Amino acid sequence: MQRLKLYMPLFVVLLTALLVLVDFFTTGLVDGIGHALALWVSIIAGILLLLGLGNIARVHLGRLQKGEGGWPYSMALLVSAVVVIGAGIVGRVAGYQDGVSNWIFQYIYQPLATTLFSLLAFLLISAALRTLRIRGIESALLVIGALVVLLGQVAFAPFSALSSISQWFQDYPVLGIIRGILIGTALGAIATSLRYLLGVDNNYMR
Amino acid sequence: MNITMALGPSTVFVLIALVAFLIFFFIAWSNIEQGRNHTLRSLRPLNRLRSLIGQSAESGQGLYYSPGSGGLNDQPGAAETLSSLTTLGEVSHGAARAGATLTVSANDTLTYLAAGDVAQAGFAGAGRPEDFSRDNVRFITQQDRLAYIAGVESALDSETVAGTVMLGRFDSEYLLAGETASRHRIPQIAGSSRVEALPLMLISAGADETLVGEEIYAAPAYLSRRPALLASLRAQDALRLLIIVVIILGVIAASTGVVSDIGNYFLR
Repeated sequence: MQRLKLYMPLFVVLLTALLVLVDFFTTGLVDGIGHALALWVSIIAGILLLLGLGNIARVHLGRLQKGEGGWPYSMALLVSAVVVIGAGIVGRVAGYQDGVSNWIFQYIYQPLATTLFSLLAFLLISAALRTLRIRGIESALLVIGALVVLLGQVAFAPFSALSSISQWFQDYPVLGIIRGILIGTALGAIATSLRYLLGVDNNYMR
Repeated sequence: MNITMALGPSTVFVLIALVAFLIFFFIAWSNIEQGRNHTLRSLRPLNRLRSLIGQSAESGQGLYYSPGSGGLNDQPGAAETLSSLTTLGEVSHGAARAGATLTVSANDTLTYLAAGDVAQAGFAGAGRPEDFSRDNVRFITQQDRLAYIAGVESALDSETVAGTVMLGRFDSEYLLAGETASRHRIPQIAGSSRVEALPLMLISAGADETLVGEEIYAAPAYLSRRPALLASLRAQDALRLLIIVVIILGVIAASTGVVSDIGNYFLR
């Protein structure tokens, strides 16, 4: 039984990988199996969402019960979750379709998300001020590069001469580095995927 | 039934890369198993990670681990998340041996369940299964990057944490959590292959604490030193050399006019 528990997931992983690879490299043998398996994953993920909801409810109900610091936020989270789920169900049953849920997303969720995202501008300035201090040759080069690229974006005449230097920076050194990172990343992704497909990276079942 | 190979130039390239990788991988694995030399260059963020686990155990404060704001069901970032989960296995193993606690969060149900299993296996592997609690693995959101990071930020704000380890697929939203950690003077280990996140990680976590690009895929091999993982690093390097040779030959061929439009050949 122990051995079955060990080898069954490996067998499933290997079989799935083979099917997807055969689907990718051939036509007429297992056409569309890759899409079908991706759909299965979505269905399984949808079912597992209930487990995730259960975890959220347990964590925040526990916080409410114990009266831990920040319990009002837990209360707000649980109430919001119940309202949104309830709005979705009631909206469907009452024939409004997703009108109520869409309204919540458009007028409550999206403005909140945009507000949060806009904080990035201020955080970026504070982080840059902390980092861009000249401590040595490397940091001096970093500051000079940052200044050239920043001032190169400014439309005013005194700085317009820097725009071609800024563009050169972005077109050659920066693009070269980005492509290097992308090639390395692609190789890493291939290696990680193949390790899982071959079953040698199986720490989820050790 | 008419079965044919669906091989265009781009699929041929993928096939060659796969076969070459497998050949390099098995040769390297055999060499490592035979005890041949496999020295690795030092990666400072991983040295910092090891000392962070020790500090966490000494201070009695837990580590916070995030496998990225992507997920296993998020196709472009799935490999990154898988690699981060392998690293999580090694970090939880190390944390269990040192006597540190670990909190893990996820932005995806599949990642949440996998992270729970991996962390549990890590603690069990270190002989301390009783130190692990499933309550320390938290599902925060379902594939909503911004809301997930807001959840991480809130946890870092309200809990006492010895350090954060955030490796995986992040975008610019990383800065929200990174700056919260900086504000509370929480040491960070960060890493991503996304160029949108890397500069922000470098300025928030620091250059010595950030794994850049492919280094996040190398982290599990560095931490575990298992032969199969080391072999895959060797195979990556061999494949990289092959690609460099192909690029140089391609540049020469295109510059001398032997072939034209070589760049678009593999896109067909």
